[in-house]
Amino acid sequence: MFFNIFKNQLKLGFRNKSNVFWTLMFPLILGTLFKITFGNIYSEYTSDAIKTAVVFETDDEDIRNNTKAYLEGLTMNDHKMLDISYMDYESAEALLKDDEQVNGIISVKNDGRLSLDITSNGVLSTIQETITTIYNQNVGLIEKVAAEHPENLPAVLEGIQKRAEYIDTHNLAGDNKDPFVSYFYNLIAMTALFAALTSLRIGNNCQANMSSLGARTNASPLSRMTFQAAAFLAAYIVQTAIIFVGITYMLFGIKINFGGDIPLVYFTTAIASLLGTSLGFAVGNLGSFNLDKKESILVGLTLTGCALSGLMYGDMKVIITEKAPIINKINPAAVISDSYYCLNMFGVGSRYLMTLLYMLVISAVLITLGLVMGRRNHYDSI
Amino acid sequence: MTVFKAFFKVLRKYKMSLIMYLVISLGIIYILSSFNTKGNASYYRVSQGIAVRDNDNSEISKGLIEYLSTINEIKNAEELTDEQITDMIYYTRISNSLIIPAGFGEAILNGEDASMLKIESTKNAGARMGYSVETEIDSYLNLLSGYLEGGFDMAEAEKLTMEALADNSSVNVIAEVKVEDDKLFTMFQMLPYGILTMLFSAVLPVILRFGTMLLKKRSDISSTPAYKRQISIALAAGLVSVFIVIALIALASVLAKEAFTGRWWLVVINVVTLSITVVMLLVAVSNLNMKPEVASAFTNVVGLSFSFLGGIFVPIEFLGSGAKVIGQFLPTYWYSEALTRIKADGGFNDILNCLLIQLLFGVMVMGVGLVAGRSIQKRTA
Amino acid sequence: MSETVVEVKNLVKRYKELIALDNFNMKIEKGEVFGLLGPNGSGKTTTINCILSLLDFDNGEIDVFGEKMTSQRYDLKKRIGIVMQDVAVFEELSVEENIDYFCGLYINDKNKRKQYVEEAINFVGLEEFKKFKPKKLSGGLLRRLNIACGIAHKPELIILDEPTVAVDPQSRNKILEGITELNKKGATIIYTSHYMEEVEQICTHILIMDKGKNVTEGSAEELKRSIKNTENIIVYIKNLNDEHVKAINAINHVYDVTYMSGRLEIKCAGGRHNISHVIDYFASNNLDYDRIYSELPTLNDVFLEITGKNLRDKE
Repeated sequence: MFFNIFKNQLKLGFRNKSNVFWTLMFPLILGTLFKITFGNIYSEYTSDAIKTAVVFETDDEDIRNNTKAYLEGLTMNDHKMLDISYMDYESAEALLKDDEQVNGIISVKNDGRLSLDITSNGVLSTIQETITTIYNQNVGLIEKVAAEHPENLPAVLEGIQKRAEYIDTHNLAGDNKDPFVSYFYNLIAMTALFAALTSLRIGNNCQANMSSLGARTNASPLSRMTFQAAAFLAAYIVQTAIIFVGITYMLFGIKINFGGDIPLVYFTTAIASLLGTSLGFAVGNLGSFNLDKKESILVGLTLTGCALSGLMYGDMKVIITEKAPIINKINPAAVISDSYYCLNMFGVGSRYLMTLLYMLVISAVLITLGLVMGRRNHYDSI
Repeated sequence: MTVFKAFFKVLRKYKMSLIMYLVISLGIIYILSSFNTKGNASYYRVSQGIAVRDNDNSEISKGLIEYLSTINEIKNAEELTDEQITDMIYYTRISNSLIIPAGFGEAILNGEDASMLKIESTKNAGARMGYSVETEIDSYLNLLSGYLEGGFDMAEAEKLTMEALADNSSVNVIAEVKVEDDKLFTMFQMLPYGILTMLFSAVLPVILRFGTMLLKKRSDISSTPAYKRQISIALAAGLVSVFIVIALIALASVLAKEAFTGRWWLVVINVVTLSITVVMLLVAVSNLNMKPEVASAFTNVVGLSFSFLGGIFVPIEFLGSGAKVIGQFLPTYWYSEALTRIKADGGFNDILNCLLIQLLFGVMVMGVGLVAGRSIQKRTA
Repeated sequence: MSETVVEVKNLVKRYKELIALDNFNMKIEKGEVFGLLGPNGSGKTTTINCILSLLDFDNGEIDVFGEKMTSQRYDLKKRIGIVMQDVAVFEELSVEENIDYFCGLYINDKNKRKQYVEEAINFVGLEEFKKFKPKKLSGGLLRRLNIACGIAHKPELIILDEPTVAVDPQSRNKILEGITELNKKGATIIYTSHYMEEVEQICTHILIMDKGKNVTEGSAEELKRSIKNTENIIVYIKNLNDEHVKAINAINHVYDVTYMSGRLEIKCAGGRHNISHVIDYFASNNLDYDRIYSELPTLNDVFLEITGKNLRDKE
């Protein structure tokens, strides 16, 4: 009996084409869009040299050579920091103002100092600013020492030459440090929760007062528990299959690096799917609303949850962590995306396992809620 | 009139989703404006957060921290767990986590080789921001030890170093983009998401419900001619749209505490233009004979994708180059662009282009939709 | 000795203010085709839902197969087949799969089920539509599918709740024949309807209900015999004045005359040979009529005479 229900519920789930189609649309369409939107930001951010125009306003060969050597010698992460073109000021200004062909103009003045023209206060400009300021500061240091303690000048010059490094740099641990990947975490969280449209129907299909199918099932010798268990399992498999298609597309189709072992990413997804199925099951058993209303409730919960975990605005999750951490603990979307994040940043450790446990606990709570709400066998009206 | 009234009756069925999108849109806007004191998101954050653990507590380490605090927001690392710090670096809330070792100041004073004792800095190698903090530290310490070596005493050296570092007269900003917190723009930046989702969820399913084949056949044989029904539906949909847009503008203005100023009018013109475009898009989509159940999923996909590609959630500057190209075909992109221009004190003439492109998008999509709709109808008839 | 399959005693069901069932009593014997007849809203479906334990009721007792029925009595439910008023099938499953699904709620044995499903399909005549999805079926075929889903597991008691609503005459006949056949094979049938012709045609015992009460019951013959009315004479005739109507009303055995838009209806008691008196009257008064015929009373007349209103407003 269990198997028969299970088999048929499985068919029902997979044949509900518009459900399957639209649930898949999220990872496919939005995933592709996210890839286009964020895909290059990180690499553009980390690997490209900053386009800079350099204008000489002095004919002093020494100054020219010194500055040239300094600017071209700057490196970051083993590549040049600046991508320099030499030109006159007019053409440089045109490039700066039009379409941001260069990010800033460094002018070399007669007194040996540098000046910087920029259009905005972005990160790139800050770096250029630092470069010119350091240079000018050293020029100032040399002038000051030469004027007041000329005897110490050689030692100071030597110090500038050496330019001591006071910093021991460590890199953040973690597999994929691109914060934009969390948009994809949230997208999968959204897919997992939207897939719950399948398990949402269980409630209505077994309550006599919700649908004629429910009444029909109630009139049969099938126990409520058997029906719910079989239908839940079927819905779980349908939903997991949908999300697996979505995550496979992300991992291999548009090549998103989720961070962490791929089998573990799938494992996390399977647990996330359980959470989604449980949410749908709970909402589906919620009172005697019709299916439309329950769908709205589910969509509302999902979107609000995803908004709070940063689907629309990436920093949202951190803001919530700081201001109201409890929300991140009970928001299914946040719990799901946090699990991927922990797998990525901390690997299989206590924190990742905790997120899995959280998902299981929330699932258990939701399933219990659903069972309690859907327990009744008596109806005042149909 | 019957059709007109029926529209609102059917609309009542969808009030839940309307309220939901209103809450989400306003929620995001509100949280952004109240929690984010730094204005326009982390992307612009030139002044960064740093977590510092000072195990040295020497004059030099204190001076360094004081200097860093003039440019960066300092968080005491002792109050944070390692995992919290990792989270903050990952989500770019802070750029670096610094640990100043004990005896660091003394080592510098004694002119010892600096490689002996170093400040431990953890950062995300991918983010340039972390790099610039390290540069600031290196600059400060190099300059300070330069002055110390040059024969100045501690107090003098610190003063000269601070002066030199504070002097940024070498930087000229041409056509600066305002960075400071400007509530008006924060509020209206995200509004298109609300407009898209609310107009779509208020109007689309209702129109589709009317178009459902059964209903259509039933009303086709009724005594009200087809064009009259369509005009009624259009009027009702228009009225609902106007109401939603006015409500959103009003709410955003109240939150921004700004209205009826010159730039406010420009922003509102921009919003109205986008809304008209969205309505035209709606007309196109409602012709495509979609099932009413699909409307909510469709609304979601359109709302999110238009918002992302149009620079609503993430500023245009930070979109990948591919996204920028695609974005230019969307009205939301030009909405953001117009907003940026208004922000840079642009006038009506400066944004006129952006407005016209939005409308052009609407007209084109509506044209395509009507033609496609006609052929679909012929096929199913 | 006959065996009681369903017994309903003093059943009371209230929906807030409205009393849906008012001390309703009913007893169904094994082998009967039991017709539950009543206008819309008389409480037929509520009675069925109470028997199936889908609905709570406020007072009374229900025994099925001699035992107290509750929602947990899966052993009793197993012996019942139900065809709901609303079509209850899955859009996503084909005809065959739907029947298999519902049959599977009762029958575990796969081979047995396969055979039963096959038989049910043949029984309702959907052989050609096995692989069709419900959406592709016409209203009549859909109803037949609905029936097949309810009876495939060969239950001892079959409850059909208005199975012929909105069904074309051809499908309707097919359905009615089928029900009679099921009965011949040994199933006890409860059949609710507001179509009195159907009930009259197939039911061995009829209970007429109204406003949640048992109005009267018996076989069709018994019911008709129990009332005053024995013959209805219908005349299509123009230009009849009040004098004539009065005069006709005075003819022996005639107790009620209505004349509306050219249709004269004469209700008579005391036998079935009153038409000659009416014809004589027209002849002697030189009145021409278009058509005249005599009808035996229907269940509607039974209902009309007891409650003072028609079973249905029109049709």
